[in-house]
Amino acid sequence: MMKSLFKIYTLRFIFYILFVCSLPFTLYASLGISTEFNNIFIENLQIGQEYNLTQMFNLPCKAKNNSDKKVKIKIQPVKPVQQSLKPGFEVIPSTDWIKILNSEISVEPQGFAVSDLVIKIPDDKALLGRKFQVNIWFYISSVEGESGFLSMTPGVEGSLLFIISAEVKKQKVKPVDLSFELSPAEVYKVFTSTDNFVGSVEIKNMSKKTVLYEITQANPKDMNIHIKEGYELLPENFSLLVVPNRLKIKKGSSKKFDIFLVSKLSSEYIGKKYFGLVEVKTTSKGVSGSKFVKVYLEAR
Amino acid sequence: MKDIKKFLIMIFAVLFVFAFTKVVFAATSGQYKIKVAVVEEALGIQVVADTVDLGYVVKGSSVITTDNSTGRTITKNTGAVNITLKLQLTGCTTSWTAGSTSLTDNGGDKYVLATVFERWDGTHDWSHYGDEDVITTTEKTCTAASGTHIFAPSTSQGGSDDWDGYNIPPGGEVSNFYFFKAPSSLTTEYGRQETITVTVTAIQQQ
Repeated sequence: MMKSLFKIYTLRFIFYILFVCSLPFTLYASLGISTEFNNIFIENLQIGQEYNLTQMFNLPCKAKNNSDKKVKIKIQPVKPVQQSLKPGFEVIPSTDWIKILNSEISVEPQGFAVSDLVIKIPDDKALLGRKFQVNIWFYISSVEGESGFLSMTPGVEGSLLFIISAEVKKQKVKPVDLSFELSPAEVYKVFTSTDNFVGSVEIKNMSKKTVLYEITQANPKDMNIHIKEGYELLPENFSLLVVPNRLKIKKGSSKKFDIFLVSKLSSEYIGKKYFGLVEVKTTSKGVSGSKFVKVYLEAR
Repeated sequence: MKDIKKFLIMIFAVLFVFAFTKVVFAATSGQYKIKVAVVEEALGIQVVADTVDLGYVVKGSSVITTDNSTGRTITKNTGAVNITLKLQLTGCTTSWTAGSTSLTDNGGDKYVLATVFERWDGTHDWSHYGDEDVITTTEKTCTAASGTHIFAPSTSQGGSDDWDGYNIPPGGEVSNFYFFKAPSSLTTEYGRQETITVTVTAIQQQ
């Protein structure tokens, strides 16, 4: 008995000396995640107030599981690293200002993880007029039915930027509904002196009521947008004209507007590439919400 | 009669003040409108490799992966903007801990895991790994191979996107190869199911 016990322990000892173990680094066939909850700008928030983005704008934080497996997605606020910090914005002093109401969610393949996000601004006058950035980190924390010694899972980190009002004011607000889609959200066009039509864009109202949308050209400088390499801002003597500039759209319906370029094309512009923005805005009492169409132009 | 006149004048005065303040209020609240703007710049990544097998590792020793088909993981930018990657250990069911300071920071039940982004068809060598490439439980952001080369080969040829996880354009993909240094001694039972999770996160490159 003692002999066989000794043998067992001796064998085990030798095994530990020689090997740690076989270490298969298991990666799942294809795991993917994506989000459009990125580059969200909110202006004029008040100190001492709480803002639920779903209640105010119908804008929950949302990520898609692009995997072929059921996964768990975790959502948490994080301080942005230097590389992702937008010019003019400070890192949020504490991620406690942000509440994710549903921070871990089981998601079917090609499904979405959706949660309300609440911004709570401390009641501190030192914050008046300041601009902050917080990033929202979505990542796959586990995969159903999979396990291995080492696994690699993907994540994405979108930016949420907000500006605190410079003055303390009582706000009376009525929510706006940002559940509308722009298709396409990017327009590419090669233009000449004889062709100034840029393209048509469809607005699809996915809210539960009729909404009036105002459509205008916007300045990309105001939006802190990173412009694609090779493109420059539209010169001042170029402008984007939209027709019509107001559209009233019933729930579940869609309508189109056209974009034209107004310019005097001369030889100095030929061969250059330009970037412009068209803003589609919906307003309510004390609140406005906008989405944008990116316009990429090449002069020939 | 006089009293009725007075009463009516007072009512009109009150109504006038009320209407006036309403107008002023409306102007003020217009100035303090909360605005939200959503500039759709989709972020997305896909991890598209299958399995990287580290094989058998002698206790206390190190291994690197070199095989182009089984020794690497692939991360693809499926979004619409340029991204930079961050890596961190997000889960560990083992009683092991992760060494964080250097490639030799292993010990009893303590391992070191490091990675570099390399051209999949290039050469893969021990000399490519440095202490800056160790994956830790706190996030570390990739830098350019030509710069401080965090998660990029120490002997980098630089410049090329294939050599780092920095500023990857839409549609671009990068490959990770790995370094593992095993614990010098173990208190855990051999054959026990253990899991270490590394999360690769995309942030929009400014």
